[in-house]
Amino acid sequence: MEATLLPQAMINGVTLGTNYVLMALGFTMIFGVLRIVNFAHGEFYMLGAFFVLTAISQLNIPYFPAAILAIAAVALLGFISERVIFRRFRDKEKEIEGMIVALGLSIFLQNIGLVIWGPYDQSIPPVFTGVFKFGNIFYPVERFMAVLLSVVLMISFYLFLKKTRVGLAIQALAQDTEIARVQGIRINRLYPIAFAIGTGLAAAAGAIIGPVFQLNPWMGLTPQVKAFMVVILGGLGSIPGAVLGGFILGIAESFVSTFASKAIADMLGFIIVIAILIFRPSGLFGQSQITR
Amino acid sequence: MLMNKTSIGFSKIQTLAVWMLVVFLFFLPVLSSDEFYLNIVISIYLQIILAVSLNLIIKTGKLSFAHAAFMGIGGYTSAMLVMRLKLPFVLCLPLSGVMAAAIAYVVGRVLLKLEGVYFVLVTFAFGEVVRLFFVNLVVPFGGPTGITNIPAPVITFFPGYTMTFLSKASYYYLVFIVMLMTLLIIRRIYRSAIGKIMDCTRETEHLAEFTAIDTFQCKMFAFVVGSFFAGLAGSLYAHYYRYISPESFTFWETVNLVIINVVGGMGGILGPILGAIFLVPLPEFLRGFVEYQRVLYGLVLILTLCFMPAGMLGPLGRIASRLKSKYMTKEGIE
Repeated sequence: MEATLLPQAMINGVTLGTNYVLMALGFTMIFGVLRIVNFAHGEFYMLGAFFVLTAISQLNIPYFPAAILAIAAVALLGFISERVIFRRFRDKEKEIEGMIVALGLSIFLQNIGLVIWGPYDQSIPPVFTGVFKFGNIFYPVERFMAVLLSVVLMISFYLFLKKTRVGLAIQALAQDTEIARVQGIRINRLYPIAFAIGTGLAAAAGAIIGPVFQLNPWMGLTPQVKAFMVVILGGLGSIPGAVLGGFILGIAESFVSTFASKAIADMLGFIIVIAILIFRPSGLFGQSQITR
Repeated sequence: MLMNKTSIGFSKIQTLAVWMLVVFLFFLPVLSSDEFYLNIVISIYLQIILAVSLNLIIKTGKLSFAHAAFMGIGGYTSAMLVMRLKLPFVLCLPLSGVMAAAIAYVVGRVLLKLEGVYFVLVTFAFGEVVRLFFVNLVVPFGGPTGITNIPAPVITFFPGYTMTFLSKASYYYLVFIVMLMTLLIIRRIYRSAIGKIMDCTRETEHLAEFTAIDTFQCKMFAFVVGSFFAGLAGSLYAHYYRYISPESFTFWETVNLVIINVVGGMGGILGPILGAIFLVPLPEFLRGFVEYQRVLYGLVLILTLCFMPAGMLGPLGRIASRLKSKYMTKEGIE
């Protein structure tokens, strides 16, 4: 029995982890670049999933174009919200206000979602069916595909940051806004782009996980909290930290809930977060200079 | 000299108006015994205690996302003490505040070292831990279903004369008196030297430290006192609704308090009072449109922060100061 539980917990943990990473990447980049704790990140995730559902059911298009459409729409929404709202809260002195305004946006979007799609669980028609079977370990194909798609997205995000001019400029902005501006980086163009990419990643996470889970207007709350945890684990603003933190949290949760209980897993996450914030505010992998 | 005298005259009018308001509110249950409205006013008072005590913490530059958790600690403490240890309510009410304050003291020593958003996030995590604590401990706390049949407060004024605060009108007075005391104490703090030290800590922390102000001590004071009043409100809440569950003290309750502060104006004691008066009755009158009401909340929060960072107090304060200067010049000419 134990022999199959262990790899099963591992596989479930990796699946959870990839989803957490995808959420945390955009969240941490938005904080790193714009110094905004995006409380509305979970709502962009929710919108991503619901846009896919709406595109499939209303426009009658297949899953993949629907997902691309949904991600683009949410990214546009992110772009607009940066221009209209968040650009006012970019200063370090306005971090708290920026956080509260993001909270306002979260409440707003969540309940707009409630008005449009109603409170009942809905589901996106399954895209992939079937189950992989290795001995006694079961792994649904749709979960495997979700992991695969997430990893592809993570790699493309990494390449975007490392290889493209915009990506490099975003990194420069995260490191030192003043120097980046001196080097001729136009922040008013790059901030909304960074925000759009961050929210786009959240939407992608929603679009990928949508067919696996049920959709409702509150579906963003849990991933939002997980994104907080992951990002604190890895250090606010640190992208490698988000990747490592996401996998660590996913695997740890899967193991604790398999071998102990879900309640303990939930509580443990928060206690670890508090401990890390107290003893290593820059996260497990962050450099000490981002400590504030 | 003359300016001075007239300004005293103006504040006299203000004091008179406030006293008249207090007297009016005192007789409110006599004027109208409509349970529906009394219930709304009681919830406004409870939210005022909570929002103003949160404002005390915000005044030192710290935004605590665990305020509802401290309210919960107070509520559970009071319910436990009354139901299990059969202690009298007059003892349980202050003890629930003391419990919240004691936990705030222990937690604050560690958490208040964190700055800016890190403090906000850590208090958020702490609030969730408290909630999960109540959810998972079924034995004393009832788990997710919470505690039912919490008795209405019974107060023995002197031997042979006890009163049970079961009716809305009687409970009104209980909450009203606690609210008045809260407001008087916090107003006293704001007007004292400690209030100035708090402003200084918030605005220029480093400068404050250079002038030998112990900013950490100042934050501790605000956090502990603020949490004390949150605990009191929790006790009042528990014995009013006579039912509590972990769901009564979630993060979203804190968010409501933040909204009240932002919309009313975070700059003083008046802001959260105005915010509570304006926002708490909304759900009662927008029944059946709950989701639209939340949409409105979100929108109001965003718009206030973008265009009216001082909240309702901003424009209202400008009108008041215009009236004040008008009145003063008139007086000066005469």
